[in-house]
Amino acid sequence: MGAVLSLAVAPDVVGNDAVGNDAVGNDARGHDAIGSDAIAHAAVANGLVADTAPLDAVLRDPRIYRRGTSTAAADGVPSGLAALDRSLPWGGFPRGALTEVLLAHDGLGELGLLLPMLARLDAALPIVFVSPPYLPYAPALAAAGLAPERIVEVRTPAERALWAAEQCLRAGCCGAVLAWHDGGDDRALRRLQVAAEAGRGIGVLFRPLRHAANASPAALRLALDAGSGQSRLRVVKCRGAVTPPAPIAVPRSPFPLHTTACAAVR
Amino acid sequence: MLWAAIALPELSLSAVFRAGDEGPCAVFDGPENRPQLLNANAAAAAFGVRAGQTPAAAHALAGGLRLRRRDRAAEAKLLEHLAAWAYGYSGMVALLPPDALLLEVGASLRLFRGWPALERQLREGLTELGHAHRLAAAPTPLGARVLADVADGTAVNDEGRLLTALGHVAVGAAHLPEKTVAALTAMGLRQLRDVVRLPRPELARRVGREALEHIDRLRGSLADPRELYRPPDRFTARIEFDSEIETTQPLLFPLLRLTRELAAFLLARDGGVQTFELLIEHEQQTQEGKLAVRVQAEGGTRTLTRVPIGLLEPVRAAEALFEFARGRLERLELPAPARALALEAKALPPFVPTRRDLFDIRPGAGLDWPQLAERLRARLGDKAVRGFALHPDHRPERAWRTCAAIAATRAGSSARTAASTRSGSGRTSNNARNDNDRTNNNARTVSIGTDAPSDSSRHDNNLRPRPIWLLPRPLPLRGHVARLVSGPERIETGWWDGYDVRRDYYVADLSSGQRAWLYREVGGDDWMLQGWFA
Repeated sequence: MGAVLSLAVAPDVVGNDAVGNDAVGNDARGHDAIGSDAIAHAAVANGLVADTAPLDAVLRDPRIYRRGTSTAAADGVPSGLAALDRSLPWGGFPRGALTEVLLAHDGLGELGLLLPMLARLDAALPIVFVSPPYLPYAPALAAAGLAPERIVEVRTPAERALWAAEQCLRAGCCGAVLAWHDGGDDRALRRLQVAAEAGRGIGVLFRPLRHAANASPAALRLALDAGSGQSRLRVVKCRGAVTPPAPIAVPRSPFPLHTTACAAVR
Repeated sequence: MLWAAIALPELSLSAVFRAGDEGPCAVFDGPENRPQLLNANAAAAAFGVRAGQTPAAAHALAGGLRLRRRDRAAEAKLLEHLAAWAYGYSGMVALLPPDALLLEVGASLRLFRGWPALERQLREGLTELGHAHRLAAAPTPLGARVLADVADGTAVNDEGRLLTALGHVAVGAAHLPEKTVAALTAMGLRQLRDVVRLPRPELARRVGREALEHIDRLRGSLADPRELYRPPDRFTARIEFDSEIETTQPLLFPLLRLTRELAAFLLARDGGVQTFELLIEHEQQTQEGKLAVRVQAEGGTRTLTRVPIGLLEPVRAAEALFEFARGRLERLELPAPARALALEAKALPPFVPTRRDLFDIRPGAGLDWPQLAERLRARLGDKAVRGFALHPDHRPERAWRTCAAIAATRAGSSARTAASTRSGSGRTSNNARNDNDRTNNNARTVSIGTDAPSDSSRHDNNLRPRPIWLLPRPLPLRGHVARLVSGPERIETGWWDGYDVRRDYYVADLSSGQRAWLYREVGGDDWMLQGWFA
């Protein structure tokens, strides 16, 4: 146990059910470097983990991250976009956390960004689209390597969309939950983040770009903007790592479906 | 074989009086001009009221005596109900009208750890249900029945001991025809022992063949096949309220009881339920909605609101049934105060539990997809959750179908599911008239585009550019086309079925940065927007 670590708790990730996180955060920030035993003690004392939890379990708690070495504990699904995967501590889209995609318009390649990731998920689990703005088009999905039978659309009025998304995330039986919502209610987002943590699923929330300036409890926030000929992806927030300063170009081949179809054949 | 007989001496009383009724009660039967008491409860018996008295005599003995005429239909129904209960203890249950049940318990003894334990369970269950009872077990059905009458709690498991036990039974208690009993008594025979000691030909001549066969069945020397009870393949239960209920919230408690009863019934039948109905009865006239149907009920006309509940898969768990029914009930606005709530399930398909990995640690709420889908449907409406399937058609708006969203979870069988959903997916498509399409043979698709990414993909329909987002219907393009990315791809088909399409499709970048799927009618100039490459 010689490892010297610095511990911090992301202040905006505190779930409804988390007890004493503030205390942990303050405590940890008070020390620049403390032994891992001390971390464990602090965590136990604050009711974060049970007495018997080994150190590994403590460090794997989503509310704790180790600065700098976080890629080691990555639990993510690669996005297929190398530049993005490299800059994210999970090596892709995080599991058990909420990802927010902020959009200037529909049709900027936002689903093309996710499709390779969705195609990598367990084929037995459904992928839920909660109140999508348009009709998910089965032939295009099939061409992208996603069997249309796996896609489930939940059509709901806007005020029930977040409820439905939370139910799907919490249930833990969906491969990924993609939800579209215009609202900016911080509490609702927090609920989604906690539900994603509980269900260990991938949650993606699409919101208009104007919310980019507001704080959000999502673990990963991506803003997608129109560039010339290709869309620009900006990492607005990334829990556990420094956000890359430069925007990432999202290549939009004339036939994005064609390339992914080839990838799916493998 | 070991048969247990349950005799219910007070069945005729329980059929017409409620369990909570106190004070002297009695049931009478017989012709109008000469009615006779059939049965009286303990309170009435304490006044000296006995079966066989006239109602007038009974009234004279007990002042506050309540008399009701016997209701054979109610008795039969009650007996059937008890048979359903007894079915939980044995797979072979026979009704022995008017007031007894037979259970073959020989095969169940090991499961229930012996007759004493089973007997205790049966007695506890009957007491809980509020039925006075007498129990006996014997190798023959009739033997058990007779022993239940004369010696409550007897259990004999071999023929020799049965014969000994039956030998002491009085002739009058052996369930023989009345005429035979009279004849035997006249002959000076008091007990069955005396009867069987007579030479058979002699006995046959005196009492007749039927009575002799009865005695043979009693003793086990003649086979006694019984028609077995079969649990009904539909379920109905109803709760009537003492007062009118105006909102759906107070209906939830009776609903919980009904769904629990349904779940218990399904468990006993080893079935599930996929569709059932809640029936809400109203005293008042409601506006003639499509849900409201007028029915004739006891005490006048009542209107009925039907709440159909359709599930994606057969379900058995009580909590799940309650949750789904509750979601639909809560969305309902009662047209009039409710007086009764009933639950009716007509189709009970076999129930196949979800297979689950033993070591699978399930995160979160640990719901299965079917449960989650049902929860969403219950709250958001039956049509809120849907899945998709491909449909072989070149016209973009007809190249897909909706299907039930259950296909998604059939692990590892995506090909099979795809086939099945495709074959049965015609229900809710956006266009319903294209059943006769033979698009593959008739369609003429011409691709004039030259800048397809590779030659190999050009011939594969799946690899033509198709947008992820499809607009529900094409709209005139508002934005400005900055650059055409590919196209045209001509789709010209459907002239034979009235949905003629002649379009040139293009992929275009708009000045806003969006990539759109546009088309122009052949010969036209207007851009129509049909999808987004999201």
